[in-house]
Formats: sequence, structure tokens, C-alpha cells
Amino acid sequence: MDTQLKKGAMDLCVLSLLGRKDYYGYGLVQKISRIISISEGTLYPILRRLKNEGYLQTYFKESKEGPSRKYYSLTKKGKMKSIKLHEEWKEFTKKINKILKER
Amino acid sequence: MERIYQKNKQNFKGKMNKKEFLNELKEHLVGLSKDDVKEIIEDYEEHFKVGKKKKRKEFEIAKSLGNPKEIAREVRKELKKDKESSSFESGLIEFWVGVKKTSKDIYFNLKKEIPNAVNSLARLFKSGNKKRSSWKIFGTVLLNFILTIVWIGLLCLIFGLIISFGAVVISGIVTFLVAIFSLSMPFAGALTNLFLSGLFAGIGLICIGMIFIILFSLLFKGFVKITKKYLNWNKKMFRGEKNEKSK
Repeated sequence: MDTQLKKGAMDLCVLSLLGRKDYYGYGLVQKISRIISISEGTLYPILRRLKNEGYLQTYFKESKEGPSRKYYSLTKKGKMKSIKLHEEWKEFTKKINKILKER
Repeated sequence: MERIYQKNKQNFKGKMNKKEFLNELKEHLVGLSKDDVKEIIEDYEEHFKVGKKKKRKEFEIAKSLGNPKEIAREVRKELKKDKESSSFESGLIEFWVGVKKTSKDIYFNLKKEIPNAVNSLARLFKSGNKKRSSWKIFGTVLLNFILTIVWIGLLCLIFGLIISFGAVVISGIVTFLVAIFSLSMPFAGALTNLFLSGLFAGIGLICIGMIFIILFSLLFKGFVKITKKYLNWNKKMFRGEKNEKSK
């Protein structure tokens, strides 16, 4: 799959996963990379940018297995962005499907 | 010496451990603020920690994280929205990191080679002429040492030539501009021929300079290619020697 396309969809994936529950970095990266083949390392820069843009916030929480981990959660702005991106995605795929089915 | 070459070999296979990965990443993050670098490194450190808890090996984690160079490029891209300038900057930084690494390699090789040369020389005197292999090692080391010096000299020569022809181009531009400027002066009529010749001399200088710069750039490319070939050959030599010893 085209990497550029993948990256654009990555924002939506991250935001909608975090809409359901909070993840720590490793868990989120694993969850996505298990389904979509992407270099795991390239997800952290995306997380950083989304945080800088105010869509995500981070907090530290103790884990059962030792040191505290950095958790990511959606901000209000992030929730709105997630909804907006989801709508856009649905529209976009609908149109593409329409073209693909046309004969 | 064998240890260095083995270490190099490991790097070539791309099996990095945590420390190597983080160091490489840090090296490629030059130019970012200290806080940014610290935060980024911490994220990846945590990733390694959690991964190890899940019974994954360090090199596996590093492998699935991807190439540090690419990650650094991604970080830079995400930090700046203007993609073109950041990719240019990334290119420059990657070039700079490459130069730094190569010079570091040369430095460390030299540092190891000199005591090695002294050692094999000492061994040579102790054992007399009986051992041929020590002659061989000594020969290779000496050859490498001399070649390194010659290499540095040649590199400086080529760079010097490129820069000096850059100066020729600049002088051509200046001549050209001065000629144009003086043609527009009121008293130009009497000296028009002189100014015109200045104009063409300027154009000529620019062309000559450009041609030589292109020529020497090509020469530089060839030089780099030959260096790479020589390094590969050298590696093979040492590996061959190792095999001989193990027999």
C-alpha cells in the first residue's frame, strides 16, 4: 500500500482508537501495526504532532509490571477532530467505491 | 582489529541493540531542541522497556521500529508543515551525519592501526623473517596508513580545485557586472571596445569555471566510488586473513 495514503489514514486510526480507551505508546503502536504493516517507529512522531496540535494529551500512570508508562488520551478538540475525520473518510471511501464500481 | 570488523559486519546486517538504535537516532536528530530530543528518546526507551517485558528481543524491537534515519526524517516532517524545506534540511542533515560517521570511522581506524602497526613491527623484529604472515599484516597496515594520508591529501586537492574554480566563476560574474555597469556610464563611448571585451571575458570566465567545477565534481564522485571499492576489498582481505588463522 502507498505509504503516503497510509500516513494520512494514520491520524484517523490513532484518534478513533483513543476515542474508545486510553492507550500507552507501545500498546497503541502494537494494535495498529498488527493490522497495518508500518514501521512502528514512525507512529511516535505522529503521536507527537497530534499532541502538539492539541488533539492528544499525555499522563503517566503506574503499570502492574513496574515503572510508570506514558498514556495518551483524547482532548475535547481531539474528539471533534476524530468525528470530523471519520465523516471525511466515509465520504471519501464512498466516492472512491462509486468510481470503482462504475463500468 | 578483528573485533572492529566484526562489529562493522553486525551493523551491516542491521541487527541493532537498544543502545545502538537510540544512539543512531540521537545522531540523526541533530538540530532539534534538547527538550525535543530528550522526549523523543524517552518515548523509544519506554517502547524498548515494554517490549522486553513482553519477552521480545532487543534487536527484534529495533527491527520492527524501523530505520532510525527514517524516523528522524519523519520527526522533522511532522514538526514542520512546510514539507519541501524540511526534506531539503533532512537531506543536508543526513549528509552531515554521514560525513561525521565516515570521519569518525577513519579516526578510529587510524587510532587502532597505529598501535597495530607498531605491534606487528615489534613482532617482526622478535621473530626475525620466519613468519611471513606478520609481514603480510604489516604490509597491509602500512599500505592502509599511507593510503589514508594520500586519500586525505587527494580529497583536499579536489575540494581546493572546486573552490578555486568557484572563485573563477565569481570573478567572471564580477567582471561581467563591472563591464555592464561601465557601459552605461556617460563617458563610455571612448572605451566601448575595452568594455565589450570585458563583457566577453566575464562570460568566458564564468563558462570555464563552470566547466571545471562540473569536471571536478565528476572526479569527486569517481573518487568516492573508488574509495568504497577499496574499502570493500580491504574488508575481504581481513576476512580472508581471519579464515586463514582459524584453519
